[in-house]
Amino acid sequence: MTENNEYNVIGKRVPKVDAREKATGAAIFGHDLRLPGMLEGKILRSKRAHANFTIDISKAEKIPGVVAVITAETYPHVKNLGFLQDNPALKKGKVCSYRDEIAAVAAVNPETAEDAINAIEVEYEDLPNVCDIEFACMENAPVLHEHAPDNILKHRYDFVHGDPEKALEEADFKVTSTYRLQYVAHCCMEPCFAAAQWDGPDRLTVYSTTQIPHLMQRDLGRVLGIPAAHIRIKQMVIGGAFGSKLDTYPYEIITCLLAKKTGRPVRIAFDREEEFIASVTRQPAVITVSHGCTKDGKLTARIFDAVLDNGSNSSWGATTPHIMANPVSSLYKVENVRMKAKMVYTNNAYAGAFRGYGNPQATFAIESNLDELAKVAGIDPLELRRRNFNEPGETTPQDLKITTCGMKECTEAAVEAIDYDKPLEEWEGVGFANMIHVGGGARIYLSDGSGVTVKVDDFGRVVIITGATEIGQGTDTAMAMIASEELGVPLENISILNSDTDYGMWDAGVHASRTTFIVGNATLRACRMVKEQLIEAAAKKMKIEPGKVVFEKGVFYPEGGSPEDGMKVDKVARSMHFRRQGKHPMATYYYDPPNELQDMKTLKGNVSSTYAYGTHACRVKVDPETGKVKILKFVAAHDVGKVINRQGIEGQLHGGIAQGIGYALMEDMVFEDGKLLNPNLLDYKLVMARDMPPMELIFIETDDPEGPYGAKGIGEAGLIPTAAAIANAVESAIGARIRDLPITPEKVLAAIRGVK
Amino acid sequence: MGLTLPEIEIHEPENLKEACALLKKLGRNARILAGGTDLIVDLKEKRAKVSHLVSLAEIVDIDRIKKDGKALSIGAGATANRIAANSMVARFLPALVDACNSMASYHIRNLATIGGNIASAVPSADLPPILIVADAKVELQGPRGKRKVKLENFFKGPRRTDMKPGEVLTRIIIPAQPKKSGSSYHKFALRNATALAVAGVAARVEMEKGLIKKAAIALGAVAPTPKLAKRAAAALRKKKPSRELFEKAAAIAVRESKPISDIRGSAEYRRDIVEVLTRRALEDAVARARGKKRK
Repeated sequence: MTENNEYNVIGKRVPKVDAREKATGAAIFGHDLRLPGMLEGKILRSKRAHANFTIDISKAEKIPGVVAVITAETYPHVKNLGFLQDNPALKKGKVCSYRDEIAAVAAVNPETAEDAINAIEVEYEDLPNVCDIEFACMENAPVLHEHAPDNILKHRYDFVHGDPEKALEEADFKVTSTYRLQYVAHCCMEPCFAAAQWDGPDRLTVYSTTQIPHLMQRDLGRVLGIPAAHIRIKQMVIGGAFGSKLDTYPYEIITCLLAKKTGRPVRIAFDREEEFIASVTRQPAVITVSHGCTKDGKLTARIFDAVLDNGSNSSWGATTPHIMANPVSSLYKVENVRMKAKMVYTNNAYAGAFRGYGNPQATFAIESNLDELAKVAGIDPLELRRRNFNEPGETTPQDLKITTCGMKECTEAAVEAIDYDKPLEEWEGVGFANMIHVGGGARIYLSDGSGVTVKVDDFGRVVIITGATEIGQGTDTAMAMIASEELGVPLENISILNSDTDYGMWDAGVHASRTTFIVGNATLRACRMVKEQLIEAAAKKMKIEPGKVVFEKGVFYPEGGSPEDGMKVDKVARSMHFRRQGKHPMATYYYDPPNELQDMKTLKGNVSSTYAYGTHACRVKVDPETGKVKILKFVAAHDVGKVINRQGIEGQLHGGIAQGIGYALMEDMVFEDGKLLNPNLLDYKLVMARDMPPMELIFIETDDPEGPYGAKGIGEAGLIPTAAAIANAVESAIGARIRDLPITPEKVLAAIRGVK
Repeated sequence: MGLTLPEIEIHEPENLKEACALLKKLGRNARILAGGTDLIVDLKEKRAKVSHLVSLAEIVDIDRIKKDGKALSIGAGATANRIAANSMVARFLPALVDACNSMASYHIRNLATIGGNIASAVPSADLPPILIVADAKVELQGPRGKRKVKLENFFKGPRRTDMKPGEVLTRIIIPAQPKKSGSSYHKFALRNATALAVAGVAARVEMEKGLIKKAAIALGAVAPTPKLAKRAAAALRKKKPSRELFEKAAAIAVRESKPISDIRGSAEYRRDIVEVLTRRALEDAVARARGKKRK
């Protein structure tokens, strides 16, 4: 395919198209929205982890300024939420976690709403807490939900290829270890928000920060019992999501119910503490991994057994094993593989989607365990990987079809940049880890598609109309760059219209690193269709064959002629429709990638149309007296297919690495009997600028045949191998393996003393 | 959950007399507002419940840093960033600059005041340990006049001090530091910015003929109040500085600490950290006393 320098815009460094409005405060986020007559909604949550309760709202209702108080009794026909439909928006008679919604109020201002919440009287009859997955699985453990008498979700995962147990038995070297992954929070800059307004009994408009506008339309219709065709979702500018807004949640239903009850617009806006307590988390897990290899270091067996704390109800966290199966089955060549996962109800918080969707957890366990295997086998960890690299053309045990694959190139580039063979000083360590992730969409619904309409107006302005969602990842900029490249129009003459289900076409939502790939392909193809229309019109105007029209940098001119005599896009556009029986230059393309819905039982199928690879490597120095880990240098080499926006992809990776370092070293939601002890940004430690190491980014361009200009999705990749790379480097520094995240100074110090 | 501030009346007296009178009148219904970086959070989260705030913003010179004879006087309203940028402070007690820069974040240090950091009496506060080893006093202005209290005697418990109703902490007086002395503050936190101390240790040593003439060690975040480790300091007297000596003193300091386990660290880990920080603080203080640059 084409070389980098053949593009005018693609591959260049471009500031995000929405950067100025966000940086200057001009962007209207949900929390900024004020609709005429809008009321403030607020939710009363449980003050127990597990209890039966009775409720009296009469005092709250009498407070002046309170317009409505609702409970589960108010709208008894509202259906449950969650992919297992086990989560009522308002709980009736029993709570199973501190985040459980008991009642809600709508009042004229936030202060009155808070007063009303405090005036609701709840009497609890405590039930025994089940806050530990091992306890939850015991025979006589208290039961959370009648539909799961053993506290285990009916829905399980069991993937097998070959005979892993026999292969492990026969392996020359083998190792088995258990890894524990903590709860972490998305910490979006903007906490959860929803506003709802009814026009008549069944016309509903929701102002939302959702990542899934079209699926939300469907969810709301089903849960509220009205036709989805009567629902319009308008997305606000979204202050971060990272997967947390991939589901429809109780607070969103409650907002709609309060608006219905009051006949006025209602908003619910979380503060930071509520965001910590009542939004979803990354899925915590206990993972036991075994690997076996021959004496030459050829991997022969991998067995992966995960137990997930499902919390009190089910959101997407319970489906993360679906994606864990990708690295388990396909990271390096392993002939015999098994993955088992079960999800256990507890009185803890429940998890949702979070950047990487189970893959960071699985990769941490696998890549830590491979370093352990290397040690047992007496093979250098790098050499062990080299003997088992994935390759182009491979079909993996899960039937993933590997087209382009930069694993080898990423690994070699990363270890070179980190100077892997350089002798280590005392308490210094070096480590790395690899990853595989979906890079060409992920078919997890019947459709993985997205529709884009591109129109060109009389003034040469290009408008891209899409159902895709910008959550800060930079896809609006990528779409504008693609249109600029194809139609020769400067970026400032391009606008993106998204954020409204009334005009945006179906999009499966922003997840699975899919938007630049899927919507990029739809935009590219729609632009090319418009370009053909323009070329045809220009040919007519110039009275030549369309094949003789040259289109360059926004100018059409005859072959052999000069651009100075040519016609610009706006003039050609006008020539098309300022006439009788005219046509408007516009085109719609609906792109659905060539990937497969996996069989839910066998988990086999080519879920993505291409796969992204990457290697993180780092050098650390440990303070042996305090246990503090300092990262001296961090290298991230990624197979990105092709860079679209260099500045955007750098931002994605820098952000991913920061989240990955947080996951590895600092971030931890500390629960005690189901209660979160650190629901604030002081005690929940995100990494800050002064914690960030020097970073070197390396882009491996494998030019994927299916990607737009060869690009792969890269949104999640930046944090997937980070924690494993750091854990491996820490082991190299101190000679002890830490298998529980986060790797705190206290754990490191204890590990150092354990070695002595 | 605290999205909203309760209704609060803000008073802005223009002099200390007025401020003291107001505070006396309002009693438990009022708090003094300086930088507000602790107080506003406490009000939102309903840990502090008052209906009046008496702001010090309009009081002239409450933030002044000046020489007072041989001593240095720092107005209670001086922000951490102003103190850290002040050349007199840098000459007088460079470790105070280090302590200021270790606090919170740059943005918070633009607002947070030295008076607030002391009067809030949070056990993990960064400024008290270094001020205590420097023999600092605080000046309190009450309705009936002024009094001075040695900082080491000022703290009575977590968030409890010697201040009486109607009193305002007006300034901190740091006496001239002895010749051939050096001080340091070492803090350990779980993040490089915006993090409370897991432990903090300040040390001052005074040298004479190659021996330690006098020493002081103060511990932060490992007891209900910032605390002098007097026996550890006594063990250094008239001794030649050495790693072994500092390790011995550090081990004594650990026994003088009374840490608790909380979300930032277990009591056991805090004792480990006190030991490390005490030794490192002493090494630095001696290096400074000998006129050597810090590592």
